[in-house]
Amino acid sequence: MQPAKKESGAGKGSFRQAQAWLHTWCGLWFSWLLYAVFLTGTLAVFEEPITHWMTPEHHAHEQAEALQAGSERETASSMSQRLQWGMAYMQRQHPGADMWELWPADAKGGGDLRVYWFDGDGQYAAAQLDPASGNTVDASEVPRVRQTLGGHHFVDFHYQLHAGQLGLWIVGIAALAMLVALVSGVITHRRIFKDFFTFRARKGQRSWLDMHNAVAVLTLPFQFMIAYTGIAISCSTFMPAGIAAYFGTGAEAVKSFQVALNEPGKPQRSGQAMSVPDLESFVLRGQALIGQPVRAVVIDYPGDAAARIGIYGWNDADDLSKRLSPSSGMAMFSAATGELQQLRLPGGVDGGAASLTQSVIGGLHMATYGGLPLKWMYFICGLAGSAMMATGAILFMVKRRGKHQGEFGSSTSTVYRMIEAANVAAIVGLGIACVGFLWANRLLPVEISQRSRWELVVFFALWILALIHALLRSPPLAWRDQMAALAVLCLLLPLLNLVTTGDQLAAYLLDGDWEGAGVELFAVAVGVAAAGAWAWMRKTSGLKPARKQMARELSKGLPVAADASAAKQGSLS
Amino acid sequence: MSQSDGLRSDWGLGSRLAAAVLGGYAVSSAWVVLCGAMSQARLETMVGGMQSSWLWYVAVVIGAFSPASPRRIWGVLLILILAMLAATAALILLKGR
Repeated sequence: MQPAKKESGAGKGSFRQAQAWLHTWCGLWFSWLLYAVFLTGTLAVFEEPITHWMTPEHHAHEQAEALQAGSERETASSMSQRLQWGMAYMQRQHPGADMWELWPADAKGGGDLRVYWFDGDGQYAAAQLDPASGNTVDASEVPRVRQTLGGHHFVDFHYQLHAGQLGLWIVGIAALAMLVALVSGVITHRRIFKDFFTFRARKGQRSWLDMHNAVAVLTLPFQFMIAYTGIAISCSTFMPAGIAAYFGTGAEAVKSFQVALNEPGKPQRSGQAMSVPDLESFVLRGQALIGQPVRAVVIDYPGDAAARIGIYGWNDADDLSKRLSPSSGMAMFSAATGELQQLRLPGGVDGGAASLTQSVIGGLHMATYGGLPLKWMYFICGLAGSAMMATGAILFMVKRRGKHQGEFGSSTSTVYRMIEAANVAAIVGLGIACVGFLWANRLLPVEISQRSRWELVVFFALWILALIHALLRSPPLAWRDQMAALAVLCLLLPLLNLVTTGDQLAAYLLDGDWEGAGVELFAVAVGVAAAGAWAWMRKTSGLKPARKQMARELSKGLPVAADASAAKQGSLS
Repeated sequence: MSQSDGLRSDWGLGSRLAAAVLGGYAVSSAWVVLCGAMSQARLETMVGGMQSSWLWYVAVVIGAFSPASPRRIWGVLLILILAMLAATAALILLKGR
């Protein structure tokens, strides 16, 4: 083997060459998962509009409520009535619970009345009460609406993959790999400023490299920020060594760490019985202290003399958009004496600088500040991040189509084939699964049981089908087939909506329903882009035989590798 | 390239990977424990340590794949971890934290 070949490998060659190796392999193995996390995380920025589109039965209800706002207020139940109903329900149904939590009303004093508690197993449980009578709302009485995860599907998938704690760890490891890939990518790539202005179109491998560099360099601060805050939000889960060293191991230790961090001075049960006093005076004092309308009333140890009553506020949207720390106001009272024990103003935290940092990390990651313009900026930067991973994964294969590098010994061809298939299924297949999720929302019968689970089944089934299809079909055809499927599903989404619910894009626009219209307009935009990509692939692959490329080119993926001289020029370093 | 060469380079890759993944996690964890001993307000510095531990992790991964011998990489990692734990013990014993 030639000595030059030995330069590439783990820790081989110069520092930059070694980092290029790390960037290539760390980037490749994590690119598919990171692309999925990024794309769904980007969609999660607009969780509410997606949920709005996915719950069409709520539209009429919302419009009626908007019309009645103000005029109907007087006939709705008062705050003190709502508090009494909530307390009566708790005393009747859950007298022994460790904690009661009432959400009496929305920020304007109307809306739903909800109650939560810790049940016998320490699980968080919830019920909804009728704000007109105080009776429990039976699930069968609720008007028939389609049960759906809505936009929350994208939120949950992008940080837990719908797999709970296990998924959180997998995504956390991927986020760390992303930080490593970013740092090693920057080291590999020293001409960072020059590449701002470099884009060589229609140059095969060079163009993919330029595109990969351009989207990464232009949005580099965002990519670092979002990956870092994503890890740091869950840092007490990922880095439990400190908790284990100073608080001990096990669930009890983690709980006492959380209490010490978030609820310093939480009392123990006294063992003496004392009924919970009337809540209204606490609510009024709390609201005045924090300057926000009440969102939640939390009673620790109800029925005990050591009980505490916490009043939490609703954040005002305008106020929230002006601060990085998204916490709401909170006032904590002793139930027995009525004495104020703890006060947190909106945006404040209970601890010091590190706690405030933690709150800001959450705000930065979830774009709670800055309002709608900032959400759009996150959306665009998130798409750029997804493009960075997609172009990186494509570049890996484009580089190897012209020149076999034999990294996997005798099975190199097979592994390349698998990577090609994974690229197609991860990049286009995920798009199909996402828009298919919206199709499932309209096509699954409303009355089917476990409906929101079935929507998820469709999402994952489509994704797996895309992978199987990509493994069976030759790469250029797999790219084109799936691109065509994506285009069709996206472009027909408004039509599907019209046929199944009677809602349509034009009506959304006329009504000023920008959330509903936005979802369909974005789907159509993706559809047009996918159709364009499909047409381009078809055209370039049609050209190839005419240019008398070698026959083996036909069996290899994206047509851009056609330019053999381009394949020679470029290497990452 | 002889068979033994290939085997040795595979061991090298495995060793680097272990240094990056396990060594990186160990250094980050030791850092969090050290931070917890750094002030009387243990919680504050410990949370700060959790927030900054990723810096160590990324630095260790980058270092583990730099052109240094795996033996040297493991040596540096071991010294780092021992130094952090010794500093923690010293703070706890001498300053009563």
